[in-house]
Amino acid sequence: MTNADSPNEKREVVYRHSLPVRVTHWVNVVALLVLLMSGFQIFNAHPALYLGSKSNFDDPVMAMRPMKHGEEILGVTTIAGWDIDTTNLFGLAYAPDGDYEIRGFPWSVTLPGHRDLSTGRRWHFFFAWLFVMNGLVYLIYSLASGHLSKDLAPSRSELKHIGTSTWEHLRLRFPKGEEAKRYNVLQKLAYLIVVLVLLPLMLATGLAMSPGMDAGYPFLLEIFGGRQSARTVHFIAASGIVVFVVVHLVMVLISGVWNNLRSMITGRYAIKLPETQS
Amino acid sequence: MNAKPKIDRRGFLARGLAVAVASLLGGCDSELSDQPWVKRILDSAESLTRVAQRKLVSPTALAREYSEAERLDRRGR
Repeated sequence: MTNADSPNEKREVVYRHSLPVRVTHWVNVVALLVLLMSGFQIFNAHPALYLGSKSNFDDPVMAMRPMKHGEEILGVTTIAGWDIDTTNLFGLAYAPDGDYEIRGFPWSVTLPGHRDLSTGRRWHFFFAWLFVMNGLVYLIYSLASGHLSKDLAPSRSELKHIGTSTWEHLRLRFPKGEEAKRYNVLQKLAYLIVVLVLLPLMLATGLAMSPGMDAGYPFLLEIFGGRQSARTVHFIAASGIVVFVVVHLVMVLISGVWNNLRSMITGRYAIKLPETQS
Repeated sequence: MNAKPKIDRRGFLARGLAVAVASLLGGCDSELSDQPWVKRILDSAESLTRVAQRKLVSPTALAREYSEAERLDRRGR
């Protein structure tokens, strides 16, 4: 950052993101945000997760619920047998009027804010279609244009030096010059995992929760080991996407936020050239 | 180009972002879901879902059956 704004520094502007990538990126931002918030609403209808094909109320893998603790009532999140006090946030959440209410996720992150499963499902399904169509456009474009193989698939030597790249990345040293024109190996792997694993997994587990689709395609139940497991995997994959987005936003912020934002809007990305002797 | 238009563009972006976030949060707050035009848009996907499911799933497909041992009682135990 020391000489980021020094007038002598050489910069080169490259065309980094193609139009289909930029458009599908922003459509995905909107779709995933609405899907997440309406997903919280749907989850709240029964804020617990199970494994297998039945909902064994006594033995959830995860649950958000109120619990008596002496005189008090606490909001407790149970994960794999561990009880965590999440009063205010989950299980016993803050309400818009400043009081508490018994619900999984608080009103401020659900869509709609008040409890309304059917409207939550409408939002979820509309934006699920948008997400699927957007994803198809992206995948077809990426395969046809070579975006997937040229820009996202890591090379053998990149994978070999992944340790060095990780170390550089952890010290927040970002590549300059020629190397900055490409994604680094960690970016490539993160994007590939999201695009080829997490997002398709969301769709597959979502379909596996549909009784109609299960009747037509029973293998959906076999793959995930039951509708309850599919719901749990849906939740875990969604959490994975949230983690990715948080890291992604932090990296965008600290590696030149305006340059990054501009590149995802206009496609143009400025690269700092390594200093020469002159 | 000197530095001046750049600052304008940054200001523009920042303001645009602020407006987008505010309208999104404000929209959720004032019950966007209750607006007739929003309902109409959301409803359009319902028929798409129905048609897609009719096309994808045979009308004779039956739900999977579970044996007595695989079931829970009414209280979920």
